[in-house]
Amino acid sequence: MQQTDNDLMLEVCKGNHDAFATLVMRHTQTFHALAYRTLQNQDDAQDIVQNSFVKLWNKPQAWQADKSKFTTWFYRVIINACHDHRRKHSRIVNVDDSVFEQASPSVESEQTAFEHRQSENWQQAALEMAIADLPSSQRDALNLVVYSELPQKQVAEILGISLKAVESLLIRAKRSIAKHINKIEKQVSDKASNTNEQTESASQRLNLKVLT
Amino acid sequence: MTINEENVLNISRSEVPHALGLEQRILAQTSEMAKTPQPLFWRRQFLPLMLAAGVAAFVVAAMIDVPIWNQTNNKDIQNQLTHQQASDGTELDEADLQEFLLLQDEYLFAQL
Repeated sequence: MQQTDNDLMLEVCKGNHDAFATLVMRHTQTFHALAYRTLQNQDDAQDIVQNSFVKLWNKPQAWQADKSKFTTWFYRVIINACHDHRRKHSRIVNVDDSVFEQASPSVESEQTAFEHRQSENWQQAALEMAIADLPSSQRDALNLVVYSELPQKQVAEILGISLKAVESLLIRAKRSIAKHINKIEKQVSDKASNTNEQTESASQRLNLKVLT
Repeated sequence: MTINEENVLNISRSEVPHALGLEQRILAQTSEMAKTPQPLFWRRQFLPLMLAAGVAAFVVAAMIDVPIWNQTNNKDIQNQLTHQQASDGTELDEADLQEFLLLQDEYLFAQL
């Protein structure tokens, strides 16, 4: 029978490295995904997860069995570590350069702009930017509920807020993202029509020159 | 399509890259730590234990200090008397000793 996380943690408290290894193999990728979603940087996310697990090995007594499940507690550890990291490095937007490039496509013609807007990559990039711009509480709630697929009750416990507050954060997050994406889409659309108008007037001037 | 709060999360996010070898790195680092003996005994147990033992010994010594001192004092006086007996040849019994101690107490009170 598979040992529960709490059983394994009790073994880790006694210095059992095999139990620790089982926990690491079981949860590393999940916690890494959360750290990556929060920081949008692969190296930083890996460092956060590695340091958190090393601290856990050195001080397993920090987890209190009677207060919360191991995963609930460790999600909180990872989120706090990500927040500390953000504060220390003052990285407001950590999305990769390629994401910026995708989010600001060069508009050559109305047709290509339209195609670009329709592409999934463009929307993905805009979504990543919109999420990166969210206040940290909304971003955490969104990452945990939507992308880590945790029940809202557990998310409330992780973030130390009420269930109603989680729901409210999610609604506000979705609203902000939708607003952000629509704004970017409008900017791109305006830029595309401007470019088109410029191209048309340039060709008209060229035609006039040719005629004269 | 207009993006609103209902359909905004239908947009799929970019995939999280797999953290290749991260588990192995964590385990390598922590297994090295597990092999290195930590000075837990000295740091966490021995020193507080020594402190507690020291305090306990001090308390016990303070509690039994007076009787020990008195016993020693009486023994010193007894030795002194025995020495006196040997030097001047007089025989001293228990009654003499008690009388001597009484006189000594009176003398000490008089000094006060």
